[in-house]
Amino acid sequence: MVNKEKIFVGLLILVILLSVGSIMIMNNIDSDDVSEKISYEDGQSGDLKFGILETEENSGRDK
Amino acid sequence: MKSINILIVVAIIAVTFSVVNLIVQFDDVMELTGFAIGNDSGTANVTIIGQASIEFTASTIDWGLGAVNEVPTSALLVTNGTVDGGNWSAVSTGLLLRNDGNTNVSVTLTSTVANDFIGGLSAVNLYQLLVSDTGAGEANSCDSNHLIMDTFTEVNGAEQNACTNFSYYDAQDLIEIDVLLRIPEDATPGLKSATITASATPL
Repeated sequence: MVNKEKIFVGLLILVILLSVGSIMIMNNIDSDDVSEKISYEDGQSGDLKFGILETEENSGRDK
Repeated sequence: MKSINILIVVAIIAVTFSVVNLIVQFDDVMELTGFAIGNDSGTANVTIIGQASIEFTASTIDWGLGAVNEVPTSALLVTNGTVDGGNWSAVSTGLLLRNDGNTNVSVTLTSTVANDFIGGLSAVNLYQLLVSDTGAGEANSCDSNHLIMDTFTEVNGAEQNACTNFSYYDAQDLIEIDVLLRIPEDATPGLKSATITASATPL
């Protein structure tokens, strides 16, 4: 193999290794939960109850 | 120039670009994670995040069973003990909402409209809420400048501002939500219930 061709192949391998390194670093960022969102709001509920008994007025019957 | 020379030039540019990219990303990661190198000393910083947290300390109001008297043609129920025109049980305290977080919050209330909750003639039925920091509440929990629902306000089914600055300090972190119902005589018999949802957003 000619020297220039060897250099070319070596440079390509270096590019691949650098790309792999970049990907691993980005994965490391994800595992640190840097992008985790925190919910700051809160919500609670209360209940109201009552019952209406049947009467002539609300049952439709005549008084 | 031979084609192999051109390829080498392109490859050198690609390597240069990749190296710069790697250095930039590595610097970012070190800033974000505090990644330590060698025997250098470090400082641990703790930041306490303002977290909204509210809790109903009195979460249920139950007037029990009752009926509207023949005269007048509607009954008025208020959580100040009022039962007028009907024979429901009196309730003298509203819902109590405490800010048990570590920051002042803005509070909204959401509930269903009177037509869906009470029923009957829509011109007569009423479902209203009032917020206060007096009575069963704690004074200065929500000062008058930020108390929006300081008079009985009809529930409209949407999120409604109640207090835009609800304090979290002990002894002044409790508000009372009073309820007023007007029940028409033609409201359908049966059990009625509604949920009031309080939402807090930190200031």
